[in-house]
Amino acid sequence: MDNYSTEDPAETIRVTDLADAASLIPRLKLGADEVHVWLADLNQPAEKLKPLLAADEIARAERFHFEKDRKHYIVARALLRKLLAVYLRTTAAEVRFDYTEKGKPSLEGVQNNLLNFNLAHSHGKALYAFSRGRKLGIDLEFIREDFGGQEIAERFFSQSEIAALGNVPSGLSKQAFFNCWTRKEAYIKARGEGLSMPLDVFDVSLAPGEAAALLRNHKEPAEVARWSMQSVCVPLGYVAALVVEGHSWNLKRFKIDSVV
Amino acid sequence: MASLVQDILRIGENNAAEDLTRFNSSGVLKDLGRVDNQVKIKGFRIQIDEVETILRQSPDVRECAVRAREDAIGEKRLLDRKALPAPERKANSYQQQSCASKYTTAEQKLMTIWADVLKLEHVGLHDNFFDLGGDSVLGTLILARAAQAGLKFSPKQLFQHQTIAELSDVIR
Repeated sequence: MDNYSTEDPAETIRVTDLADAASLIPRLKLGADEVHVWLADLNQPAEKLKPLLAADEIARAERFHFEKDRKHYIVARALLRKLLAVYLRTTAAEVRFDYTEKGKPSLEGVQNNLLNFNLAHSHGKALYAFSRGRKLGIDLEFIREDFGGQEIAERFFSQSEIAALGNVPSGLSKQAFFNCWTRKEAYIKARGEGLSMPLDVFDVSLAPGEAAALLRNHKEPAEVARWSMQSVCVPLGYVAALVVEGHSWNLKRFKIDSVV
Repeated sequence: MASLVQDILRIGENNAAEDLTRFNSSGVLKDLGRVDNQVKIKGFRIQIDEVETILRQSPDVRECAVRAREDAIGEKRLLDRKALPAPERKANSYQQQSCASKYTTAEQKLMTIWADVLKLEHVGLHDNFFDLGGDSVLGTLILARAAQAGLKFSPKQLFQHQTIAELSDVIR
């Protein structure tokens, strides 16, 4: 089930292709036992994409202190709208979001019954996951070079994860930390929880080379069988994980390249 | 900060004794009469209020009072400000106290931690963590470091109170 590999079988779609939803619909048929994952480069012309955003999204964009963050947010949101529009057979501006109390975005009203989605972005890249009827969560992290993962692990990870991290050779510890982090984050996102869910009540695998897995949930043991977890192939320097409700689904990957 | 210094240096270029007017609490301009709130330093006439006004424009300055050190001029012209001691560098002087009490200990600790985690030179009391580029990993790192420094709060509290000012209010 683990999809971690060096070759890249993702189908490439250009941003300009997204404007022509009609021609994409047959290529993007999303079956009930399918999950689509999109990797996008966020270095796209933000000003051109900005008109697709709703007023609250533009207001949010304007609050960023740094231009880079502002642009990446605009592009990430605009691409999400474009992709949702293709799957919903509507237009990007017609997409209406709803937010749970914990901040997870979903679709509003009748659109919500048609499609599940989740997204993550980090350091100029975004990942989007779509399904029909299966809850899902995705996380993407750039492996920061000078980063105090140890401090987070010691305070927030489970005992068995801290022990497993200790067994990883030091050259791989950053990779292992972000394996663990993205898998945990994808799981709580799939459940619709924010970081209010304690991170130490469940264990995930983390050793580089080992398949991604939800190993135990100490409070709700049945959870382990309810979800499937796998890593997602992303560019060197990034780590990503996907958690989907149920089993026997097929992953189809797409990517949107940079145009600048 | 450089422009603040330039602004202060520019004071005195066109100064004259002025009628002092202020907005009172209901927003009405009130004439406080002619106030010679000026000092002469090395031949330049300095309007004390202007120095204070510009200092207050800096986000790092919450409140300030300015007086000139030359006692002869200071005593004569600084009105109620003459109650202030000369700015000597000794322990427990007025200035050191006021400088240290500008931020609470918790605020100071959080500003250091945030700046360090976000890799910024300075984080202000009212800067929003997510607006500065913060995300869940960095937020969790802040939680870990704050706890290490004796400041405990939950991820939920950080997500609900996204500035140091708000956060230090709820963990007080």
